[in-house]
Amino acid sequence: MARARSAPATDADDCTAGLLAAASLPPRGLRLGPRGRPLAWGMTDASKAALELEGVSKRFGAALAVRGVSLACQRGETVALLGGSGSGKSTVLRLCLGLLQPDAGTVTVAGERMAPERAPRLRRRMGYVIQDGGLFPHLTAEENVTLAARHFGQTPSWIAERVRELAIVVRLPEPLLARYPAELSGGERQRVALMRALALEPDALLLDEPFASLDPLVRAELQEEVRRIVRELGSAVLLVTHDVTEAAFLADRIVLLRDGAVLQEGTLKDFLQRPADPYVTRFLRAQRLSLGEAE
Amino acid sequence: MKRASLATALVGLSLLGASRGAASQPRVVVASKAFTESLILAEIAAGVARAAGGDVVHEAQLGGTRVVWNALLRGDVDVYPEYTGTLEREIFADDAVQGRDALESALAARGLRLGPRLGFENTYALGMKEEVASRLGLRRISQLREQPALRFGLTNEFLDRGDGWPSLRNAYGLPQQPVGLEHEVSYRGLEAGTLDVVDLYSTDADIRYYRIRVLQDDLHHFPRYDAVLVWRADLEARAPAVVAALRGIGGRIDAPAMIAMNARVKLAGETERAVAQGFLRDQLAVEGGGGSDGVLARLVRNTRDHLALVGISLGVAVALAVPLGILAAKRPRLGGAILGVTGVLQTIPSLALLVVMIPLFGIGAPTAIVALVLYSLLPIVRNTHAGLRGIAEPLRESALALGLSPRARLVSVELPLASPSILAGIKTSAVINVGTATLGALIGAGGYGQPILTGIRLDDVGLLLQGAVPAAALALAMQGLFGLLERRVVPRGLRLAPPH
Repeated sequence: MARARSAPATDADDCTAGLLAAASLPPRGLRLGPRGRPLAWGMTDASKAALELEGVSKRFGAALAVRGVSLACQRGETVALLGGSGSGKSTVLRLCLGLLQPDAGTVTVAGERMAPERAPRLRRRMGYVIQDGGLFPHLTAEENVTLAARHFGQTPSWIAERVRELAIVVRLPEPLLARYPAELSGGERQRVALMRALALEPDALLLDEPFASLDPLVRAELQEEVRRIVRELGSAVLLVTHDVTEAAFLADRIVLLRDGAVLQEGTLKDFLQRPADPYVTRFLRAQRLSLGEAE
Repeated sequence: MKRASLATALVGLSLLGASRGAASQPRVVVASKAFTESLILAEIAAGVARAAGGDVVHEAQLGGTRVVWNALLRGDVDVYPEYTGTLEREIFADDAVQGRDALESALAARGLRLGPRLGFENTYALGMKEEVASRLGLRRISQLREQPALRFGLTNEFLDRGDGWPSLRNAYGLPQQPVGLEHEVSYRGLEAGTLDVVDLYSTDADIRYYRIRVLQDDLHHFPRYDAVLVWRADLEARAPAVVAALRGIGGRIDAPAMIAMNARVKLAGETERAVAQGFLRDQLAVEGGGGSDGVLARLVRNTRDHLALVGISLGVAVALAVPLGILAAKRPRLGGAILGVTGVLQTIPSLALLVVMIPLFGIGAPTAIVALVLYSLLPIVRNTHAGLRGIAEPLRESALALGLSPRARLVSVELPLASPSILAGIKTSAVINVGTATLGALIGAGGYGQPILTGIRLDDVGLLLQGAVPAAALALAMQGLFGLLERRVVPRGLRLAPPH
């Protein structure tokens, strides 16, 4: 089980009181479902990539939005999909979730091929956070977080405990859970959205520009939180962003997309030192990044 | 009870179909059309039938010949007053039925019987204000040919009837373009000077009251309109004493007596029932039972009937329209068809819809409820559809991404998000329904339309307001009720300011 709950001892900055509290909870890998069976999404094959795309293409009418994209994201690994608008990076995320069907290629989630009939089940292994959180305005923060768990028959006590844990993990003051999305700040809404995405202990977390509409200070704070959280949970993360520094800060690996195709894959350092294409350098320069600054 | 439809069963639940009278008394349904003379004659027939041991119900002022006729054929009505000319020229217009023998056999072929002549004729005629007619020197209908500028106001029914305007225009070569209106309004149009020529019934009390010159039918276009009773043949087996008593009215009412009775209702403000009972007592030595209701009792009854019409129809409409709206939103191609059909239903004129459905559901509340349901569909279907289709894409995707089943998405996410729109649609339907339900009175469904119809007929504003004011109040109450309902049904989170 790749679910390390304890914070890395070396990362003193992240060793907050909240994390200690979370870490002191019982290990959750073998938690049983309501009928005494192990929860399906808690029992995944750790040998397989959490998320894998092979030669995936997607066409919208005449336009080819995604061209033969292949990439894999392992547990404990964060991959950033970087690119300008229209580069197809959000489309890749939708393909991963089965919200779109590829015209060619395959999407594999924890060893299982994504297909329409399997999509609802496989989606439960993934957490999805979008720009404005996508929180349901008619539900309170807590109801948003627990909606899926309630539908999949989790016991009230399991749910209550999970909410408490998650609130600690994302550092959301518990009183805010009773509020509606309209009564929360942008940053608070994203914390709730993260809680919702994490509620069913997903194998993979799919983040689509989750910080884009936040003001700079809140954004920086939340980026730190997310880095801490994903390291702590050890799940696979696929992050869609157009922000190079955000990608470099959060991701182990960056995949740069242009016109729906992978232009280069590697670290920021690779991009700066060995750009595969003049576009790579232009894209980084446009965000005021040069070799000297990155060092 | 011989009609047993789903709608009747529904109504039965709602106090409307309370059983009347003891089982030993034969049930007799008397009907009248929506003009004073018809009501008086029906009340006389009802009094006679009651005295002969019948358990009598009067379905009063139904909205036109076709409504009553269909109800009679269907067995919802047993007996009603009619005129031989109407039977020959309107009801059997296509069969060239002429004379009493032909009429009797035409009726017998439909399981009906022609009663004896009541003793007077009430023909159609055209009339003008005395001073206008004498200024223009008009005495005969044929002279109207030379007066194309005259404004004609004709009864809606007369405009369409086989013996009415189309054949009259052809017979006399009349060039005028008439407007259609209700008979009881036309005298007021003459009086106000907005109309020059109207159609009349020759026994109308208004003719003398308003000083109207009846133009001579010099080409003998109109047939004889002898007043008669028409009843179902099976009534003779079910209630022989009642039929014998009805025959006894034959020849007892002459034209002056009829005009006098019309005048007592229209000009002196007596009720049809009181006038009929006076006639029964004085001419036939029959004591009619059952006095008139007080204003309050009538208001209570009309309110009950109206609420039942609106409540049942709205409930059924919601149960049908919300699923239809969901279906329309989920299946776009089918959705186009659903929205199209409910849209077309909305455009059918209400009286036409009512008349068309009488053969299926009979007169009274069932037909009115079915019509109201059909009219209520569109706003609810459309708003359900719009509410579901209007859900923001990120929210729709978020629900999908959670791995929820289609049903769970619908129940927990989509319907709550669409609830303000759905509720607004139901509210629109409810308010429209309160107004449309007043038309139920045209087919004997009761409700606030009853006093409105009578008020129009008798030019009695007070009576009219007894229906119009509570109907308006009910519409306002509906608005208020839905305001409260909104707080309960629409989730609190949706009533807060949206994010950003």
